[in-house]
Amino acid sequence: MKERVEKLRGKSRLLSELILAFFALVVLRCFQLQIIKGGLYSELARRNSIFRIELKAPRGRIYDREGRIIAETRASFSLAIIRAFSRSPTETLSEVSKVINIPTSILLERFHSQKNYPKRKPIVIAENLSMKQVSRIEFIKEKFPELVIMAEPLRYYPYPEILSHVLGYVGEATKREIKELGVEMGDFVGKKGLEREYDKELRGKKGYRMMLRDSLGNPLKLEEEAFPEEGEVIKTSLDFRLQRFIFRKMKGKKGGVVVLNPKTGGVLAMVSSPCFNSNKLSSRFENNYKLKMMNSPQEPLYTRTIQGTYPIGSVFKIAVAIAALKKGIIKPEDRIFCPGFFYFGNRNFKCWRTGGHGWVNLYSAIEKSCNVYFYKVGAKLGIEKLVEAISKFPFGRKTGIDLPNEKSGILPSPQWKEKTLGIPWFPGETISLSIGQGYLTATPLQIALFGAAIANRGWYPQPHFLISHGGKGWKGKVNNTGVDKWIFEAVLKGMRRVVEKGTGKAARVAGVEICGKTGTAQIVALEKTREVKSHSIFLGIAPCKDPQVVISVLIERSGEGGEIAAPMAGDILRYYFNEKIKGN
Amino acid sequence: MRRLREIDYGILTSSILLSVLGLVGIWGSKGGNSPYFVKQILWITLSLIVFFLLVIIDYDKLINLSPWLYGGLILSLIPLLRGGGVSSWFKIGGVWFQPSELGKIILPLFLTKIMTKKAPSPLSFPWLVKISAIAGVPIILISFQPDLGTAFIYLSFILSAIIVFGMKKVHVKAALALSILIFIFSWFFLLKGYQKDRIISFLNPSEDTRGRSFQIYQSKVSIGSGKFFGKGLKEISQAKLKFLPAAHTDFIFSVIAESFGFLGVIVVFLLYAVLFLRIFKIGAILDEERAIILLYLTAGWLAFQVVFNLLIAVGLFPVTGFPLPFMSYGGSDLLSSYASLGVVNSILAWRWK
Repeated sequence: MKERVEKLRGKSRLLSELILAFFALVVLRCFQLQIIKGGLYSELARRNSIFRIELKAPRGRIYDREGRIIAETRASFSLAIIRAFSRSPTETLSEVSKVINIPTSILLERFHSQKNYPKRKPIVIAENLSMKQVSRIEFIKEKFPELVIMAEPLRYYPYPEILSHVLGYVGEATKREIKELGVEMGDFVGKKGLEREYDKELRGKKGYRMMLRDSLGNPLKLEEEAFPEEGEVIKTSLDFRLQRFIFRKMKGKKGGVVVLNPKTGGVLAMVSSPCFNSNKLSSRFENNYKLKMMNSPQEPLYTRTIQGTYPIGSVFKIAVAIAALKKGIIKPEDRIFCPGFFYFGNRNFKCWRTGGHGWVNLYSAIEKSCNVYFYKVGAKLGIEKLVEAISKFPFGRKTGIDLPNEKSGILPSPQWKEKTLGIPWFPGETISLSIGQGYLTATPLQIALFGAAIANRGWYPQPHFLISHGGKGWKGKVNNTGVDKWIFEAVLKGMRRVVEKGTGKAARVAGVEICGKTGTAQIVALEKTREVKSHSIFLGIAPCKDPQVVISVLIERSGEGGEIAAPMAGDILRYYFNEKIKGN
Repeated sequence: MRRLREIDYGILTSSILLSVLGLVGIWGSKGGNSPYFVKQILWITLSLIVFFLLVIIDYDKLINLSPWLYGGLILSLIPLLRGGGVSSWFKIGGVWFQPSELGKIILPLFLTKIMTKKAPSPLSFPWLVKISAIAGVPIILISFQPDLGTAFIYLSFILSAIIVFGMKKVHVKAALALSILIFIFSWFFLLKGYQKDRIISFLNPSEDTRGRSFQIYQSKVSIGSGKFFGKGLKEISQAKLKFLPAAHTDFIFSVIAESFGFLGVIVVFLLYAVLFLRIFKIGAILDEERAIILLYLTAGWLAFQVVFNLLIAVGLFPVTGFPLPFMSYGGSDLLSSYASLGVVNSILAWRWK
């Protein structure tokens, strides 16, 4: 009896040993959690309850030369949703849809398109809410703590179409931009134009607000905050009124116009047509509009003034004249006979005037845009000397303007042709090039800059829009053509006659001496049945003696340079001088 | 009344101190003005009255009464099953209570009655079956409520009986094999989705912290963030901001650990160690076989529930959900815990007749 009791008592000792062993285990575990990993868990606990709300920085404003705001930031009441607190997004969004009258499908589409968004970062699902909509959201927020109303700075362009290509637009950063620019998901970055070129300067510095929140997401207390800093102010050389005038003139046409100051390189106006709406492209929504713009056969997103590389036609004759004078092939007074055609090899190169121009010298050849004069000069000069003489001019190279994705165009040469096409240069191609045909292409900006080189009698600046950002001014390069001044005086004399009585008469402006050159670039028609009109081009410099302004006009498939581009340039220059006289 | 003089004050003091610490935790997570705090004080008072009542009742009388009590327990568990099988609560005269909690007092009494002077040591196979059946019937009934936490605690009665009487090596091996089979069977046929989730989430703690392992994760964060000295009651963000679910009930230990850090943890363990060591010390001076059996079976379930609640809180065992004896908020559990201590002290007080 006694033995049995002792036996049971003995065995029971295991129970107390087990308990103490488990206690020791739990104490050791607590030691691990609290002492060894205590720092980590403190941080996790803090992250649980401290909620960081990012405050977006307003982008810097952009001004034109006279202090008009052309890009600014406006406060928008935006509705956002925080995924971490969202239990049923479909339910929440259908409720939201009812109170703000935006279809649930659109809200859901936006919500689901942000799958990679951090769970605790608010995803904006509606912008620019009215006060009425805001108060309605506030009403249902009680039920849905994942909803947040934010006063957020959004980019706003007062003239979204007039300046579309110059200013560009902004948008939420893509994965690539996040990596390259060091921004965060959901940040706005410049996508095009000056917005993209000066994105870093315009971006500003984000602020934040640390809120204490409970597990349901209800905000309890403000812990810490830092206000955002606005981005740098950018002043540009643009003249808004001139830009608007050109914009209106170009409506319905395809092409580009560039007006710049030849001395400073400051761009006064740059219009590429057709345009787009910067406000709509900067929106997080408007997907239909974005698709429409991207897929439009009119290619409105394409900046024709710096990305459109066009054959420039007779404008190039000026370059040929400069090369020939520099190399001593001709003198300005030398006369050449134009019978209306020129045999070279076994090909017949025609002049545009069937009967020919008779005897012409440099001035009358430029005035009348005589082809045969330049065929003969070009043939005598040869391709190597031609390319060498004008290698310092802005052809076939980027101008370095402060806009992204500029194209360089082509200044053809035997080396270039061998390298890119793998076939040798034919002597006949030199003849075509002498009147600006063949492989030669240039952008309207390059044409204008070529005009600046002539206007300055030998040098040209780097073109730009920036006057200053955050108080820091523009510093550009100056290029020297290496051509003597008298040569420019000679061609300018011819160009003066173009506008006075030649092909560019339509560009005449009363009281202003204008030098110019027309260009008519024939386009190779792919369909022989359809008549394709030429690109109409005009390069203008005014006033001739001390030029203040250079203009290049290119209108696609519209007709002769003297008929379409010249009168347009004339109107623009007239506006420029009239307004200027009134203004200053 | 002279029996009250025999009470072990070490046991009484440590259990009351644990309850006070529990109150502090409830105050910290729910606030001093919350109904939880006041109610808990009432429950502790009531539990102490039950404790003293049980001390002055001869435990022998309870053992003799136990077949009837056991019968009543089984019957009271059945209507719940009929009433839809959703609740483990029972209402008598306007007061809700859980018969399964009462069972924690009854089962040790009944097993003592059955085993005393009959069960061989080590236990034979028929006796293993008998003990398993006596505990197994309420386990099955409670599992269907479904209250897996309490059913799990009931396993402690079988375990304690086996520890006290010992088991043959053959049976140990067979039991191991059988439990593996039972686990596989119940995984595919018995366990509900959410129960499986708990086990899975325990095995993969790195999963989504918002999902199924949320509780374990948050409990670990609470404990860990307490560091050495704790954050103090006013700064316990985890419990106060509701990141720690069931902070005042099943996870009260985590609240204490967050508030008072590793120091608080040591205090809790010292109190529990004193409590159990004092209980086991009684075992050393007992002469009666039934007294020894009853003592260990009673202490067994208490220890079992304490140990597993803590293992869950520190993330070493999957969540099933049951309170921490003496500390967690909740009347039924406090009552059964203090009543068990009453029985223990009754054994001490009535060792001489």
